[in-house]
Amino acid sequence: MKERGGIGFGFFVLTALSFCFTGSSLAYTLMDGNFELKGFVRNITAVRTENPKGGLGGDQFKSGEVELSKSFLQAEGTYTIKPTLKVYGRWRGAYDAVFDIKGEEKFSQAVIDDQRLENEVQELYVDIQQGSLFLRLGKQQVVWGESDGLRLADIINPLDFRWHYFLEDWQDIRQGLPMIRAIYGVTAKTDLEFVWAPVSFKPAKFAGAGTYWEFPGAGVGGIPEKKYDTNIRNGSVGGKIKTTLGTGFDVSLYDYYHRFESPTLSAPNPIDPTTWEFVHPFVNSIGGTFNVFVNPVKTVFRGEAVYNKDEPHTDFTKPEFISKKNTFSFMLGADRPTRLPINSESSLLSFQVFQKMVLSEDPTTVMFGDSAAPGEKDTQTMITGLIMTSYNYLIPSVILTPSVFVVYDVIGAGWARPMVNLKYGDNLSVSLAYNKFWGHKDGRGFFDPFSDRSEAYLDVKYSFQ
Amino acid sequence: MKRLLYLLISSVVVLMFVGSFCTAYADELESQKDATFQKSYLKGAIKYKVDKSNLNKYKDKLTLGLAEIIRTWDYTANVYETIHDYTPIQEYIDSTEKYKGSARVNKKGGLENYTAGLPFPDPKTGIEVMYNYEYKYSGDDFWWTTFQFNSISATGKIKVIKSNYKRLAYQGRLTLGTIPNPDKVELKEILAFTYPEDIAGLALLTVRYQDGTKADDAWMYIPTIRRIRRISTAQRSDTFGGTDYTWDDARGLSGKIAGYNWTMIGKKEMIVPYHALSNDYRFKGKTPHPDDIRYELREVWIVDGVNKERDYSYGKIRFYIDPDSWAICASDHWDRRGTLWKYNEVGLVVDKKDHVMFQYYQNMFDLIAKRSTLSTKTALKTNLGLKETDFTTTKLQSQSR
Repeated sequence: MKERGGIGFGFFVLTALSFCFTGSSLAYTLMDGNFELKGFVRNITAVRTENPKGGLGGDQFKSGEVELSKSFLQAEGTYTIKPTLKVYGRWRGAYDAVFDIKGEEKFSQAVIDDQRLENEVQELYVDIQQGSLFLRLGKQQVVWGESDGLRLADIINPLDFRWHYFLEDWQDIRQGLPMIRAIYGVTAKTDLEFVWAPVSFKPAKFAGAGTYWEFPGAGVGGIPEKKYDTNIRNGSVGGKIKTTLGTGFDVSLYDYYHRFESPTLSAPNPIDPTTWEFVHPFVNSIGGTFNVFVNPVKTVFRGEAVYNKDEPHTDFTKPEFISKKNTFSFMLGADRPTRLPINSESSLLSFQVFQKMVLSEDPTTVMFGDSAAPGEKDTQTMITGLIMTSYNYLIPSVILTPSVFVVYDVIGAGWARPMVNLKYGDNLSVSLAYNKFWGHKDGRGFFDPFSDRSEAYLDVKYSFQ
Repeated sequence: MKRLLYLLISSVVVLMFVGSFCTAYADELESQKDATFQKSYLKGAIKYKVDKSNLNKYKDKLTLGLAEIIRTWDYTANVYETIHDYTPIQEYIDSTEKYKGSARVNKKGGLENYTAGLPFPDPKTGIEVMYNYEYKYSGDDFWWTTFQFNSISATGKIKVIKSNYKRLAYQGRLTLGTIPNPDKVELKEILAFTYPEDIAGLALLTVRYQDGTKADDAWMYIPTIRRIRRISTAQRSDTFGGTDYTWDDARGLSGKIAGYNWTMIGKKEMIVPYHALSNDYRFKGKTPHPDDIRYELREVWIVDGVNKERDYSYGKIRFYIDPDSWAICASDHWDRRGTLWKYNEVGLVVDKKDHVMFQYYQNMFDLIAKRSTLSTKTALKTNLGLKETDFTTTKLQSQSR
């Protein structure tokens, strides 16, 4: 891993420099325009803004210290063999300098090997269009659902939480899976979709001990990854039907049978810790989505719901520490472009309500990051809000996009991200943002472990095409 | 060694800034290449020039926006001989005759009883002129294979957006046969962006209905979230991608005709761009090079439109419409305080092979911010035989990553 990362890093630096010194038009098209290359160089550097309160995660980073400085080179190539056949690949190399800034001695070698360098083909697939049938074969991301910021139906690709937890765009932290995806257009309004990840399973990845985004309870090198055989029985499979009712009401129904990406502690012999391991039992997720534009109120309404059968959770009162519950989650959201006095352009106002509840009666299991107080029904309710606008004229040649995104857990905890993005010309994007967390007074809820991990960051991206 | 690597990475970040300045100006140089498009229309003699020195003499013949860019941007309009050489296909002419008098505008501003051809060969009201624009002959489908926006800021810097555009008509089809239409769709269109990298793959599908009061349906595939989102069509007067165009400014006007209150101003001889073939545009400072554009003195319909939405960004738009083709030649745009804000100029070219009027360019001047966005199209293909299945949300996604 380390050696491969080194090769990738060398390539990364050389390629990045070659792009930066290119003074002419960046048009990378070859083979009579049938091959197109594009990508970006990016650096995100984050600084802790509060001193640690002790407890979980990254306590060796003090306020004002750099806790993330990750540089990326991403290249995407599309080769269009003919209009109905194309090949797409996306490779990403990355280097997180925080291990060298802080000093290697502050981390275990396992963590450094796991997180400092990255060199991976994120996606590589073939697209085939044959009449009404669309096939995508290969390593890819498949996204279902209507939610922003939180995931319900978006369960097909597991996430990589290691370097910036859940704070990145999902597409940058989804792990590509080799899959067969087929979409058949039954009519212009109705599609049938089939997704099969036949032989592979990847769990969600979490940061290791000592890193800033250390997962609560992670050991050295993070949570040990359970290796499942490359076997057809370890694959995932699902299907979806999507249609438009009348002239504007989109609905879909889906079923996806998959291993649960989050780890659950299993103890075949509870009194012998050497037998303990993190496992990923199968779950059946059945759900549906809708969206509609309601003209009288100029608003798009959207929603989704999912029923998870046998969702696993760690429960030390149970044999082998595993408890399987049926859960139900839903999201209702609304998006409305609105003219506000702050700008001559519309601003996007977007709100969502999420709720997840345990359907199985069992008060001994406390789920969802201890959202419930002892004796309360374990239900998690979150509200999100986004306000975003853009200014095209304040600074010549610059598009300025300020936004504020807030996730509020109704028990009294949350996360807010005010951000300003600046786009200059065709290629340069700069974002300055602040992630502010606050926790529950009794230390409950999903956001409590992050309550001392607020950060400010600068994200610079230079694209080429 | 490790610290050296970190220094290298830091250098990359610094150099990214340097690189961005270099490449942005490379695009500008590319746009300033000598024009090679000078074809037959520009070979004729210039009859007269209108510039700052003789502006008052021709003021009554100029659109307000053109007069303003001549006055304040030191622009020159070269006026050539007027040529009338456009005719639609014979089937369109026959349909116009066959269905003459049957189309009508209902109380809500919708078009009723329209079958094919020109709805109102002898328009009496502003809205009838505008429905003639909407149902001018454009083929049963068409595809702008490259549709490029060049936004030129007050400092002269150019930002480029590239896209392509496909449209499928459900009404008035004359060549490729009818499409079953239980939902009473007027048209479907896909605008797909291909450059720059951060919006490449973004694609917008719009479905417009014949019912003048029914809002468009629209879905956008957003590659950064890998999902199709239904989007609101309520704010079509927002600009997009940092250009000076609103969504409704495409094609001269792409808003719903029934969404405006229309006033007929009349028919008058005006100096407008025509036969303005230009697929390799040059710039003189912030403005198009005047030698590249042919203007003609032509009789045009003048119609004022006021959108019915109370927070629409334009207070009023004045359209100048060619009676030969019923295409928009130019438009003046006021803001909601009544100040002249923008001027949109459409470079129409007669495509004699397909009998359509092709917009080789559209240039939207922001007269207040002193900037402009030029959109150019390199090729128009009509009657391709596009199918309904080419205009689905799945198609949006399959064309992207």
